[in-house]
Amino acid sequence: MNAELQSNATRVPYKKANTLYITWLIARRQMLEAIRDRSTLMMSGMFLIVQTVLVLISIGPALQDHTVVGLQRAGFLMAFYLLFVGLMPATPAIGIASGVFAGDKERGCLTPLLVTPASNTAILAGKILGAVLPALAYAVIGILIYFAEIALLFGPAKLALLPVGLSILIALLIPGIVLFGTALASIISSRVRTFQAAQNFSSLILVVLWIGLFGLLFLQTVLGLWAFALGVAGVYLVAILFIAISAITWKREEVMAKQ
Amino acid sequence: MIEAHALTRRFGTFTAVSNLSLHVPDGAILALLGPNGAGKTTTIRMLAGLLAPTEGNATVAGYDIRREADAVRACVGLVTDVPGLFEQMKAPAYLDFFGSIYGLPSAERTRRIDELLEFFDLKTHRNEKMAGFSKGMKQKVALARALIHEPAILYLDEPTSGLDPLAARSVRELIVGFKRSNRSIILCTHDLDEAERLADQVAIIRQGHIVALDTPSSLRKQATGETLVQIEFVGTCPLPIEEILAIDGVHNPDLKEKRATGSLSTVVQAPGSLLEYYASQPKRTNPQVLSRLVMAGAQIVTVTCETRSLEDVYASAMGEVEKASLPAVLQDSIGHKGASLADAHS
Repeated sequence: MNAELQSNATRVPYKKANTLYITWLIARRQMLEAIRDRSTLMMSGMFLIVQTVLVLISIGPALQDHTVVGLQRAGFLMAFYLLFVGLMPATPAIGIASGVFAGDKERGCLTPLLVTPASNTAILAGKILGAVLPALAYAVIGILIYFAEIALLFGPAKLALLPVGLSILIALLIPGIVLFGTALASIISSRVRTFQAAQNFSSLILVVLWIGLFGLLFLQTVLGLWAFALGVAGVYLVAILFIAISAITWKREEVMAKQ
Repeated sequence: MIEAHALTRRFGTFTAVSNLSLHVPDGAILALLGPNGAGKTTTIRMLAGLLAPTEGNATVAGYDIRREADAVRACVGLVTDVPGLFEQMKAPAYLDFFGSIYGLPSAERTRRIDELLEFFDLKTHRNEKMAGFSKGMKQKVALARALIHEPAILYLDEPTSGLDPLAARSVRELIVGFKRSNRSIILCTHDLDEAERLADQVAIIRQGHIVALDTPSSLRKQATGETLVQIEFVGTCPLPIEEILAIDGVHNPDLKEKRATGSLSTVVQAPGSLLEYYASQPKRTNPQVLSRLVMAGAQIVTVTCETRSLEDVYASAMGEVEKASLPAVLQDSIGHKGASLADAHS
């Protein structure tokens, strides 16, 4: 306390803050927090090892069958693994999303943010975006490593075996699922009292997500690619609808009232 | 300035704050005293634009807490008992984050952060993660965060809770500094001594109601008009108790033995070595008592006058509700014991 603090305490006229800018500030800080989380990094690293082993022990033998049907099967298997390697590294991020409100609340970090002039929309959107973006980044990294592994182990030409339509739809489905899972986990996190409750709910979300995914794949095999495409569109629609409704209805007061 | 009128906040059927009115001018500190769950934090949250009141209204720095909650939040700083830092960050980055949210331009943020780190003696720790900071240092960062936008209003919710005595003292010095800079401050505390030393006004809050609101000295005076006077003698008091009681203005005189408590032992002096009495006007009564004692040959060592402390005022304000919450049989029992103790004392 060796310097005199210049404290004017003047009544500066209030100017409403830019919601988009504040949203980005909150999201960026949330992302840094997620990236610094060592357990997430370790889990994602572990999934990379698992996917490498899977590629070696299952895709390798499948590629030995050089018949048309055999190569089609190998292509389908590679597409199925595409979904797996995209979603597995993103799964821990859903766990992190469940702590964006409830975890911060327990650590006392949420009140200082809520007492700022940031709007309700900026806080909610920033928190959700901050949870979604790292999960998407993990998914993209997982997919890129998967392609690199196939190219390195079996040759780049084998990537051409991937069924184009299904692969594109799966590549579109992954961000949709990540968006849905992390957004839902963040929203639940903002509405429960404890981090533990938020984590329990997010575990439930994961189970529902995986069941839904297998259901979609089953639909694809029975009804064709169009059913799968409809499913992908449905996932996006539900996720966006969820976020929009939450952005309109979420109020910081509800969080404070539950403390 | 903070102006609240009949603020009420209910959570379902539970009323956390009821009909609360207060006024805190610029450059003044109001201490909110009360047990856990009395409604102090809910009051602060309403006045910080975090919770809307169920009934009543308030203006903070000229802004209405219902209609202009964003503006209210822009001109208040809040510090709670938990620093609530993102501990993996370094203090300058953390303060920069909040400065950005408050809309400070980059150059101003840099100037302000340097100024605050200097002020709070944290400049040498600017390159360290806050996870390694002591509780006192973390609380200083929390105070810096609350001050980054130079708020006109400060809410301090148990800011010295869990701090060591030296850190707590430095935080108290800061609070006095904030007051001098013309800020309106509401301080929630369990530390009655802290409230007495810092606050211009003290509000005792119980079950969501303000049961007492005045300056600390007025509260003490309201609680009892009498001052406890203690006179210590070499040897014993030369006057019998009846003669002292006969002096105008002396109430409840009593002769006791003086107990001098040392670090290892308690020395009890002769019975009658300490005279105690109550006086409503000690300036008029004490000279009469002292002259009578001196004429009677008393050798006086010390004369001390004690008015009731804020702790006594607080205890009496809280005592009623604690008693009221007990079953009737126990209330009677306490009533009888209280009466018999009073009889024994008189």
